[in-house]
Amino acid sequence: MISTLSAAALLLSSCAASGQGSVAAPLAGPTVTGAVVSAPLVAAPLEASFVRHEVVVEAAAPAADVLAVRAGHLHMADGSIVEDGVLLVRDGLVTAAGADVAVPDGARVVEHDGHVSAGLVAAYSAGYLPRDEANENTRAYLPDGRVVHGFDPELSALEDALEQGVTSLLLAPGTSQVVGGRTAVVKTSGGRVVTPNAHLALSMGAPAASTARTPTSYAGIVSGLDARFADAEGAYAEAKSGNLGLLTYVSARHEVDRALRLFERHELKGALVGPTLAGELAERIRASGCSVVLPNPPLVLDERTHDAMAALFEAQVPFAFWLSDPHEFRASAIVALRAGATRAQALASITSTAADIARVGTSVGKLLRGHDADFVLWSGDPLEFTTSVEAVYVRGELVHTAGHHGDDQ
Amino acid sequence: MRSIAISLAPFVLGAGLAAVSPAAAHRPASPLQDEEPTEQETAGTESEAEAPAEVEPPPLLAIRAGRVIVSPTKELENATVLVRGDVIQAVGTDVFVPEGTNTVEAAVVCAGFIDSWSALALDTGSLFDRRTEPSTRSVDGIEAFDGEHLRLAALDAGVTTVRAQVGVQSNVHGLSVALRLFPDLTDERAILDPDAALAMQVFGDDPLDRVGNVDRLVDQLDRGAAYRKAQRTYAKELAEWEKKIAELEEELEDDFKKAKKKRDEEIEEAKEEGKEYREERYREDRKPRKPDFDRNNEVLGAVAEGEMPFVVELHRIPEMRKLLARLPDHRRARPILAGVSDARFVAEDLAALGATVIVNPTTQGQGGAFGSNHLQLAADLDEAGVEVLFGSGGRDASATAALPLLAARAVAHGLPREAALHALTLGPARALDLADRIGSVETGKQADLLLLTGDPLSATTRVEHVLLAGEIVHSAK
Repeated sequence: MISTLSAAALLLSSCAASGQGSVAAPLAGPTVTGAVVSAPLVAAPLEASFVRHEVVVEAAAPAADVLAVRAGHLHMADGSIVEDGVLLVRDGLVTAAGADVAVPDGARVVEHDGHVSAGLVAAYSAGYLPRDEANENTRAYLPDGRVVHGFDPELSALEDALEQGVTSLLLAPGTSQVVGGRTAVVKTSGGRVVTPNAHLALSMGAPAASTARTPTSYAGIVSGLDARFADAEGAYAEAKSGNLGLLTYVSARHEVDRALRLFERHELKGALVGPTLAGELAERIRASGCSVVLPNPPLVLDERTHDAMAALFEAQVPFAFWLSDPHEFRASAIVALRAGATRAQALASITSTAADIARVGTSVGKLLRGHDADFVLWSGDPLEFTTSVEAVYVRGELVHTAGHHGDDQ
Repeated sequence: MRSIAISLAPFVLGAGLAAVSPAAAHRPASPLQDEEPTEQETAGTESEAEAPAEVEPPPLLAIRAGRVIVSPTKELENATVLVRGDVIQAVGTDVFVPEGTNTVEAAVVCAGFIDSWSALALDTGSLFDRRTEPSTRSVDGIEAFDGEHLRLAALDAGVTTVRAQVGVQSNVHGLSVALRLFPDLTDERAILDPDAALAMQVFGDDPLDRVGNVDRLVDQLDRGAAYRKAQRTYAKELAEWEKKIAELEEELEDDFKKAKKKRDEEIEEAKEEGKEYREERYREDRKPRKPDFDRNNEVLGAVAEGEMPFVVELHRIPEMRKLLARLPDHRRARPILAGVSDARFVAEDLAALGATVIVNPTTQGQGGAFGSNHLQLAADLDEAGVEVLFGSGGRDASATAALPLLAARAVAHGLPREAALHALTLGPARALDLADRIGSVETGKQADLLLLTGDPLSATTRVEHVLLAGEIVHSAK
């Protein structure tokens, strides 16, 4: 559990508990006062292990450092939409967002008639590591492998994702290892690592049962995991205690069932990645406290897939989508909307809920004070197919405009 | 190629007087009919007004909509669409609707969507046949029973008409069928045009192969044109020959003896001179020889003369340039280019030709050399002045239902909304000679309509009802 430490340490809370990896730049100029307010526990089950704090900051910096975005429609962290909202950004972080926010004199102002939302977050991705990097299939158990070591910020796929509005994504080991190591969350621009140590990644899907090495069956997979979680040490202990998240690849329905029963035996919970038909076990998933990261659905759903997704939404299981082809990422949220998700659920599945599932919900995915100023200027409602990206900001910097890349205004 | 002429005016007047209430529909259709029974029996036209007196007039249906998208560039607010039987009788903001008329409300009404490159409703074996010819008819390969769920998914998405084509693994696919997606595909109204277009595809492993293939395809058009020319020549010569024969026979009848005497003299003369007398009168041997009927050349000839459009699937620059170079030899032909993955490099030439293209709007490049995104392709070509139609690619029957959503995605890439709607409605209707019957919400056309909950390009819009030929054939669950 995170104890109440100084505010500075709180800023680091979204990064590795061990202190590795790059961290948010300390606020230049203003001093952080020690006033820390403890917010009540947020209702969503994922937040249970975090206590949200508000950081009170004295505004001592010159106003020219402030970026103010006036948005025709501002998409707030709670799912509401504010007409003619204002977003204030300083030093890469959001300082205010909402309806009655005053723009300080001297601030740089960006006017945007359309919609502004938090930058899109992918709670799982495939194809954003160098080729074969996610293909460590000789060792079935590699609990201390860190996929962040394979991160290549220059990969062109990252730029493709950025152009579609994705600002943060989760890197995961391949699905052919029972225990693949530790996932990381990175930004798609600037090479920044949000956290090098988000979850312990498991795979209980068919690829984890290999013919070339043990385990060679589901039974073998379960047996190996049972043993490691029973007298848990190291990464397994961290996952059990909640200091480290848990992310499990499963695809078929029976694989979900198997994973849920394993979790129950060891009092585990985490994100289930890959099960298209998870909704058929929606109540059990809900009861377990797990979340689901879905593959990109086709534009037109068959009846079974549609009903499974609808059941998942109705049971209020937190869900997100994985990122492979960036053009299909936001489309997935729109398909969810068409299948019965609320607008708030649909947009959250690619922003705030995705960030929570990726264990970085206190720093990205929401237009909320203290979070990274990652946001997108859309030509229209982001939940419409006809809408396109007009501009993307990461940490308050304009990093992409439609038509050209990285031009400053 | 065909048009349905229904003369409505006299009937509307008469029926208007009679059909004030639903019960009135059972009365004789028009006072006019009672007065002149004999003329009706002998008239024999398709007009309802002259049908036998016992036939009821088709029912009226009024659709009141907040927004009627008459065509991609014309909209009406708070308007009514009046449907009589299978035909749109009136569209406007102040249409008179007789009391008691069956009425339906809708937020938005628009014309049913058309997938101009579809694999729906076809038997799989026929779809992938390798040995088709120009005269092979897709209408013969319709699968009316299996795959119903795919057709219903298409209706659910608002697609009411498709151009379906068999033989996609052949070079020349054959004749496409324009189908209306009645849930019961055996309904005779389902076949809008059994021979809507000739379709072909450019094959080849490398550019030389494909360029050669273009030559061979256009050579087939040459042969079709030559066949037609031969037929015209034959007709002309036959007429001349028959005329000559008639003249000679008349001569013979007028004065048989004189003609016989003249002939005998000629025979004598010829004998004296030692020449052979050649019988000239009945020139049976000079009768022009009829060109052999060739069913493929019949089709190719119709295409060469522009009586039927033809669709050519091709993707890369060398073959597109070759086709553009050879098309001027066939000025009457009406080509529609499909696929055209790398067309952004020849966009100006296509625009100069006044070309119409069918784009399969996907996020991947298909068949092109440059991995281009086809949603972007639609926008680029439209901007260059090329007419863009949308089709689902002609190989995957399940892709038809996604077409309207993909059209919306093309808008995100810069395609204007009107162009996206045009690509789904009026564009394909005109290109396939169906615009007299479908493609827009206008008087005289078939009532193939969508009753929507919102804007057709919005992701959350649902199709509440689909009308085909004025009948509600599908409703949202």
